[in-house]
Amino acid sequence: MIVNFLNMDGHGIFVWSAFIFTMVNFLTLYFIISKNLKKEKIKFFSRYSIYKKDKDRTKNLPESKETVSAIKFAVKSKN
Amino acid sequence: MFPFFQSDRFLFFCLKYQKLIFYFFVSLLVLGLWEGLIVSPEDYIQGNSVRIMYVHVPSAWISLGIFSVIGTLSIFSFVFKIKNFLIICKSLAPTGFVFNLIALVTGAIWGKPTWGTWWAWDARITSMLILFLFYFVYLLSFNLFKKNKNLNKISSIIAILGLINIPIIKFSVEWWSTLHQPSSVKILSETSIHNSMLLPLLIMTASFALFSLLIFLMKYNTELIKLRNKRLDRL
Repeated sequence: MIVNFLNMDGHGIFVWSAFIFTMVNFLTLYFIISKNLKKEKIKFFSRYSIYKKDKDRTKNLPESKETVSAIKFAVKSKN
Repeated sequence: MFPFFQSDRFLFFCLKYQKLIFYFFVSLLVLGLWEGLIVSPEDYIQGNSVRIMYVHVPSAWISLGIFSVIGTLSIFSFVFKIKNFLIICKSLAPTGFVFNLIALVTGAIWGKPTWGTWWAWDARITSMLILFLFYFVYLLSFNLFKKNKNLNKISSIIAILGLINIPIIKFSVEWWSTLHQPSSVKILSETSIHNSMLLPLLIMTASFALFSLLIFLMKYNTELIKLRNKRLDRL
């Protein structure tokens, strides 16, 4: 029964290769995109920690809009 | 314009709903595969090879849909110089490209048992290949002109030119005599496909659409973080 299902009256090779090709493409795309996302997040946190150290030294300097946005983002995504 | 997409709120939205969309996509995909490979009947002429339709057709629809969105947003981006639209288009393009590739390859696989050939220079297939080339050039432009200040203009022009190809793909089966069959699923007139085949087709389309949404959110998230990294470098 399983052999019949896999064979699909001789069309199995076409059907399975089409489905496998689709799933392989999905997995590849998903892993490439998630790897890039992870890489950028790590970059962000390393830069943010450098910025934070500098900020401790320059406490009295006013914060720009971008800085506030970056800090807010870092804190919320860590949560 | 469209401040929600630029704000932190959208970024948090991405982070929050990414997992939910992923689980929803996997459940729909499993259901679609079950319906498409096991429950749905075989075609009286094509036999079991008709099951390739459940990956081929949704991929073609989504790749066309994504390019239509990219082209439309590019017009706005070109005219109104909205930088955020460029980021949205850049985030959509990889998914559209992969779906276009899937549509072409699965179409070739389906062609062999149905038409007796892997490839034919028929209007529908050739116009889909042209769309694939447009996707490729569009994605390439982001790498080639990364540091060029005219990146927005160049990529928008490619997308707008590619947009002309969309109605050609859609109506190619009506305008020319083609090997490719005309549309079976129609919105405005009666659909010529039986419900037992239409149901898995719609489930697979929904799951593919969710997958493209998931990849778009992840890619868009990456692009926003890249922007923040650049800002932090400047501080």
